[in-house]
Amino acid sequence: MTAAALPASDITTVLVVDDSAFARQGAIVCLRSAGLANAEFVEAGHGREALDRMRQRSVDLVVTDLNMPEMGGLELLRAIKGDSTLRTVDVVVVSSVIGPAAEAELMNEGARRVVKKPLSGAGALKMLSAVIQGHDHG
Amino acid sequence: MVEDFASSWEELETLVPDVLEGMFFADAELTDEAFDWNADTIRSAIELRHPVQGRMEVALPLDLATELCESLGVEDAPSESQLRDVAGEIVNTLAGRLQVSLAGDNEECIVGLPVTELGEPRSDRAVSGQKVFAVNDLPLIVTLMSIETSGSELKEACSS
Repeated sequence: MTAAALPASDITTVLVVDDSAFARQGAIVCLRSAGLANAEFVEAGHGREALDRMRQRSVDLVVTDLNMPEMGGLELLRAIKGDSTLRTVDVVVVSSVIGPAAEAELMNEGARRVVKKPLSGAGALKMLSAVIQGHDHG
Repeated sequence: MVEDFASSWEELETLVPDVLEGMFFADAELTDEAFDWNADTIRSAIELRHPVQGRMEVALPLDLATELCESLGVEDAPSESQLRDVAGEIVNTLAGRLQVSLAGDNEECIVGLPVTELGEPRSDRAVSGQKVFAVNDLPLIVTLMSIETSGSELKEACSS
């Protein structure tokens, strides 16, 4: 599916958080092919580094793994949603360790979407559609 | 809590091909073939804490790790760090998907963080089982170890 198939998007900067460089690159490739070909991608190896990045520059979307050293994805999500300057940023969680209970918890904590690893092109497209529709509906 | 590995192996026979295909577009097939294991090897292990308790290890020859790196777009010879990353990500994804597949709807799924080393698979230890998958005609060995053979730290982590 091409970028033209997605609705208009104001996602210009995406922060990808994962302790695996390959997982980050894989996510970036999927997100580019799903419609974010012109977005700028920023990377972080764990939650604490992600928060540092977010305080240095604005991002429109955070795509994060859960299971990371230093600070995991759930703690990162809570930190973002608990910060008045960051809480409007959409957060999507991509992880292999997500059962129904964990997914419900993440959505309750403010995640926009929860996606199973490994991320595929189709998974990235569905994820972005949900995020963008959320923007359109305010 | 899952106390034996029979159901884990049943799940892994599907999960390993599924994950390898999803991550690398590589075909993986369970095999009885005896591979000549003289190659330099990389192995990555991860704690399984809930519902399955134990340790999972994935071991693969460096040649296979290199091929998998190249399938992700690494053009020059992958660095040791990149090879470790690939092995760690494989075991991390398999372990997470395994826990989710065996957990009840309201159960937590918990795994540790992968620890990756260069060296042969841990076949000299008492193990609960080991299966070999052929990936690009090269072996990928998955080993499951019980808590009893995984050390006191894991026992403590699982009981906390």
